[in-house]
Amino acid sequence: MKFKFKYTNRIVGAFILVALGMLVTSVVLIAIQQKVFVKKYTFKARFLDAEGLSTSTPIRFKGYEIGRIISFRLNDENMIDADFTVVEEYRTKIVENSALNKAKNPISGTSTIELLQGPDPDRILPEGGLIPAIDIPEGRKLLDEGLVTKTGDVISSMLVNTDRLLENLNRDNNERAGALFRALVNLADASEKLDETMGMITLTFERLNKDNNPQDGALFRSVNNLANLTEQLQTTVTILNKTLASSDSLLTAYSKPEGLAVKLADPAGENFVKPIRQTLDNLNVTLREATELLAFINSQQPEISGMISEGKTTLNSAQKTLEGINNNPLIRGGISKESEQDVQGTKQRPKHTK
Amino acid sequence: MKRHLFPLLLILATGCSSLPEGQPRSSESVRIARDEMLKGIRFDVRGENQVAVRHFETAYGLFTQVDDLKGKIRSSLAVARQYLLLKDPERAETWMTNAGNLVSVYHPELASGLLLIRTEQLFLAGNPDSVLKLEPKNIKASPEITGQIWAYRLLSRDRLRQDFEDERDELESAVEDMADLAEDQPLDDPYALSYCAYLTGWAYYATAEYKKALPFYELAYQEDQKLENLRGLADDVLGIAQTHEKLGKPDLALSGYFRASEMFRQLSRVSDAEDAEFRYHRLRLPEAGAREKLESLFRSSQSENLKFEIRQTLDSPAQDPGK
Repeated sequence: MKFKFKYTNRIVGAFILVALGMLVTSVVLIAIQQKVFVKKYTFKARFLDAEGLSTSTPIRFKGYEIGRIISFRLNDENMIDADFTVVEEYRTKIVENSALNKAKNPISGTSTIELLQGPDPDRILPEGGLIPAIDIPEGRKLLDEGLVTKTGDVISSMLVNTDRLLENLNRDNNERAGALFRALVNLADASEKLDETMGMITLTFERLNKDNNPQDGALFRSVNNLANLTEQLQTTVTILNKTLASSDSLLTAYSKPEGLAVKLADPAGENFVKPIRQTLDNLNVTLREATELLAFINSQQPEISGMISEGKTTLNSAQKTLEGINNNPLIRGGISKESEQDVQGTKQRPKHTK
Repeated sequence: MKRHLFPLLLILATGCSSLPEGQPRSSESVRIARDEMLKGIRFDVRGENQVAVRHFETAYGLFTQVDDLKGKIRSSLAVARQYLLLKDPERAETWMTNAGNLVSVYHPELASGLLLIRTEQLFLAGNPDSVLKLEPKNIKASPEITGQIWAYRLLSRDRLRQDFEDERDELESAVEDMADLAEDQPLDDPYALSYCAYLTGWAYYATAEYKKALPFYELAYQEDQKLENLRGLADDVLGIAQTHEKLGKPDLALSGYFRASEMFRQLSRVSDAEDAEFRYHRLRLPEAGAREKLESLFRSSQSENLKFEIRQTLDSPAQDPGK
């Protein structure tokens, strides 16, 4: 049977048309998938480094790809300024106080950029606004203030947390980093204080072992004084012993009281004993006379009382007379008043007599 | 001539190089000098003028070393005051002249210090008229100095039996300024506040405004406690007790008189102690035994004025306490 190419042109044409149709469809499908026809909004981002960044790195939010990095460059501050676009559907997710978290999976080597949305979903960030990465100060501040919460894949988080733990372990005085570090800091402080206390205890025992340390504290001075006191007490006891021995001898001598002192001072009794006796006799006579005088005065007491009373009356009258003269308008103020206070120095304080 | 010029210049340069350098102001010396001033003030208040003058002269020496002119003026005036109290007017005048020269040339703003000492001089000499002729209104001074000037004026008015309400108001204002100032910084003369507060209380008491007198006596008491000024404290306690008695609070008054008497005894101020004891027993007169105590005090006292008052009290009919 002879094969005829009667419809060859039609078949080839149809094949080409189908192929072209499939190509166009594929292109359209791909474009749709790539959201080529969707309106995009451009924003700025800033990263600490360009590690893992490329012009097609996707930006994800809750696992959805909401945009892509379209360009990036090194700025004057040696940070990375990047532009990224976000499709219209997710435009409203870009709000103020948002941040980006660029993480590299150390096992797969892939980088992901995740949008960490700000706290207020109603405050939409204007197009062209800057969203910092959390590894630069602006982004770290948002993280520290709790405006954004960091999420990420498990391995990255574990590595970051491990890194932080190690960093905190190497730092000193970081009791605010959590209970573990508070405990560690307290333990470290306690061990330092214990060391210091041990040093002081050692020093104290050294001082206790020393003799004569008057410049030390009250306890040491007391111990020192006690030592001196016991020495002095011992000396005193020795002296007391000697004194008692002397007293014993003295008492023995006085056990025969034949006027040791009198014999010693006035053996004949002419110098002291007789004159003293005479004086005592005279004194006795004088006392008798004084008694008589006092009895006389006592008998005259009413007269004396009367005299005093009259004197007082006279003084009162004189006082009134003087008061009258003093109050006389003609000579009032003419007599200078006596100073009421005896001023001997500065800051003397007067007192009220009434 | 040219031949001799070079050696001359050489000698001149050598001479200049050996000149003493400007002595830097030593804050340590100033601190010690201020301490000496405070010690002097303490001894002055205790009436130990010989010791006080030594401290003030030491302070003057230290201020001179560091060329602190204000310090020199203050210490000179303090020394002059002590010589006045020690009845050595010639030396006092020398120190005053010294201070006056420095004030007129370098620090006219310290003229108030001179005014204060002139006021004291006249007051101590028993010339209250002359004290009142000195015009303090236009003088700018620290509240300590202002207060003391008004205090002397008030005492002068009292001596002349004149009203002193204006002086009392000015004194009260100075006390308030001093109290405010003392909250921020230590006063140059820490005893000035208690003294002026006491005098304000005393002035209110004199015009029978006892409720107003009490807070000033109490302020003086607080300040004297801070300064451990026993002499002042005894006076303050007596003043408070007298005021309580007038305000009809006999229990508080009795306690005050008792404490005042104890303090005066400690200070060997016998007549003041006897006065406080008299007031104490007089207030307890309706009680048993008080009359005997007063009679015993009458026999032991050497003060004729006190004896007269005791006799008057014993002769007068008994009154209720606090009346």
